[in-house]
Amino acid sequence: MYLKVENISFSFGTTEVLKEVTFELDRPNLTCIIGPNGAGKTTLARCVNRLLRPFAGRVTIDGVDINNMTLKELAVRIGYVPNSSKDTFPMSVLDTVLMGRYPRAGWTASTRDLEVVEETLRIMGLDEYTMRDFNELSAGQHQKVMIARGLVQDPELLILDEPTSNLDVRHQMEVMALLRGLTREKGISILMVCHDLNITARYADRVILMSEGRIHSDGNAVEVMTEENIQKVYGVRSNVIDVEGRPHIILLSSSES
Amino acid sequence: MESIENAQLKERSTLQIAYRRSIVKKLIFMAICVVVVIIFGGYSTTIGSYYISVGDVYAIIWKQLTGMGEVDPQAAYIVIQLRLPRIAGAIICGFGLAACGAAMQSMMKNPLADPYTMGISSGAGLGAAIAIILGFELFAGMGIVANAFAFAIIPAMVVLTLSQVRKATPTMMILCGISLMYVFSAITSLLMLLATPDDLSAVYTWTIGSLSKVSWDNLPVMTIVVVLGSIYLQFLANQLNIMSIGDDSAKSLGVDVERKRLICLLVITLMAASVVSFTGIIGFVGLVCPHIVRIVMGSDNKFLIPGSAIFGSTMLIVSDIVARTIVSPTMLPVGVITACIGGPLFMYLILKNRKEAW
Repeated sequence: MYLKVENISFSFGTTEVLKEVTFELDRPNLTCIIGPNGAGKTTLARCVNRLLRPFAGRVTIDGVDINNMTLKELAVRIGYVPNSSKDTFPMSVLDTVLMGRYPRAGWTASTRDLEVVEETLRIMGLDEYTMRDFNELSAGQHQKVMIARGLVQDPELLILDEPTSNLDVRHQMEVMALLRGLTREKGISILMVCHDLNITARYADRVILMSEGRIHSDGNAVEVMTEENIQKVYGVRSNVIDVEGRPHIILLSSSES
Repeated sequence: MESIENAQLKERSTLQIAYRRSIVKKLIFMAICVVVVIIFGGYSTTIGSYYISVGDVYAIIWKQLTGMGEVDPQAAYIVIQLRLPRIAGAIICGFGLAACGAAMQSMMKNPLADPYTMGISSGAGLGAAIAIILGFELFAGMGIVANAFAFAIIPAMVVLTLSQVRKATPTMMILCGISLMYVFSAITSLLMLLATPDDLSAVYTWTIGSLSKVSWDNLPVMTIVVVLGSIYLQFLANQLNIMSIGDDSAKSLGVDVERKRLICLLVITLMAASVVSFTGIIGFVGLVCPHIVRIVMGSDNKFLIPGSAIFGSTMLIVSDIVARTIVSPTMLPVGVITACIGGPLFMYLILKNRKEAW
C-alpha cells in the first residue's frame, strides 16, 4: 500500500491546525507522530482516515483519492483505533471485537470471523475476558480491546491515536512490540500518534515530529529525536543518550537553564 | 508441540461454543416470550361478559383460518370481530414501539431515547386535539388518525431540514425533539382551554392510549408499517451496533453514521406514528422493554431488536389483561397499566442487576 498525503491543510474555525502537511508511507513499518499538544497530530491522523476533510490538499491510497472511495471501501484498507471509547450499552468483549469484522463480514458472524477474533484476543492477552462485559474492564484493557478491534478489521494501514496512553509500562512495551511485529509479519503499515518519547524512540521505525501544524522533522528515531529538536519543538532541555542503538531522552528540569 | 496445538484447538472450540451458547440463550428467551404471547393472547380473548373457554377460542380461530368445521356464529363473531382485533393490536403495538425504542437507543447512544423523546407522541396528541376540538382535518374524512400521523412526523421532518444546515448529531436530534415536544404540549393545552367538556374528555382519553379503537379496518395499515419497519431495522442491526460505539469508530468501520441515523429516524417515526395514530399514546413500552431485554440478553441489536419487539408484545398483552380485569367491568386505559407495571418492574431489575449496565 502506498499512502500519499499531499499539502493538506485543516482549520477549526479560524485556527489553522494543519498547514500544508506532506508525507508518504511507502512500506509497511511503524511510524509514530510525536509533538506537543495542539501540534496537529490527532487532526492529521483523522484527516488521513477521512474522519476530517482537509480543506486543501489530498490523501491518496495507491493513487486513488480517498474522497472517491466509499466509507466501506476505505474501512477495508484503513483501520482506526480511537484514543478512548466511552462506555455505552453493555456488550461483551467478544461482541465488541467482532464489530471490527463489519467491513468484511456478512450479516452473521462466520466461523472464520470467530477464529480471527479468537486469535487476536489471544495475541492481545485478552482471552480470559472474552465473555466479560466491555464496560467492566479497566482503562488499559479497554485500549487493548479497541486495538484488537482494529486488528480484526485486517486493514492495510492501521491508524492509532495514543493507543498506549492508559497502559502500564510493561503493557505499553508489549503492545508496541506487537504492533511492530505486525508490520513485519503481516505487512501492515501502522501510523500512530504517540506522546511518550522514549517508547517512541525504542520502537518506531520512523518518527514524524510535528510542531504548530507542520512537520518539523521526519526520519528515523536517531535523526529526529535530538536534543536540539526537542528543545526547539517542546521547549524542554534534555540529554539524549544512546541505548542499544536507539536514542534515550533524559529530561532536564527547566529551572537549570 | 502437539499438546499445544491440541490445547489451542480446544480453546478455539470453547470460544465458539460460548458464542453459540449465548445465541441459544437469547433464542430461548424469545421463544418463551412467544409462548407467553400465545397463551395470554388466548386467555385474553376469553375475558368479557360472554364466556368462551380458551379451547373454544383456539378452535374458532383454527376453523376460521382453515375454513373447516362448524362454529357457533355468535361466539365466532365475538371472538373474531370484537376481541381479536384488540389482541392483535396489543401484539403489533407493543412489537412496533419496543423495536423502535431499541433501535432509537442504539443509534442515539442514549438510554433515555425512545420514539416519544423525539416528540412523536406530543405531535400526535396535538394533531388529535386539533381534529377533536377545532374539527379541522388535514385530510378530509380521515379524521383524528390522519391528523395525528401528520403531526407525529413533524419532528423528524424538522430534524431532516436542520440536517441540511448542520450535522445531525444525536444531541441535536434529542434537543430538537424535546423542544418540539414542549411546543406541541403548549399548543395542546391552549386548545384544551377552548374545548367543550366532551371534547376535553375525548382529547384526554386519546392522550392516555387505549387499544379499544383497534379494528380489522385499521389493523392492516399498522401491521404492514410495523412489519416492514422491523425488517428494515433488523437488517440494519449490525450498523446500529456500530453506531452505538461512537461516530468516529463507526465511520472508520465503514458506516455512514449521519445518513444512516436520519434514515433510521424516518423509519422509526413512521412505525411509531402509525401505531400511535390509532391507539393514542401508550407510554413506557418503547423506553423500558429494550432495557429489560438488554439485562437478559445483552446489547447486540441482532437479538435486541427482535427480543425487545416480542417482549413489547408480551408486556402489552399482559397489561391489557390487567387493564380489563382489575376493576372489571370498567376498563382502564392500557397506557396507565404499562406504566404502573413497567416502572416498578424496571426499578426492581435495575436494583437486582449487579452488573453495571448503564
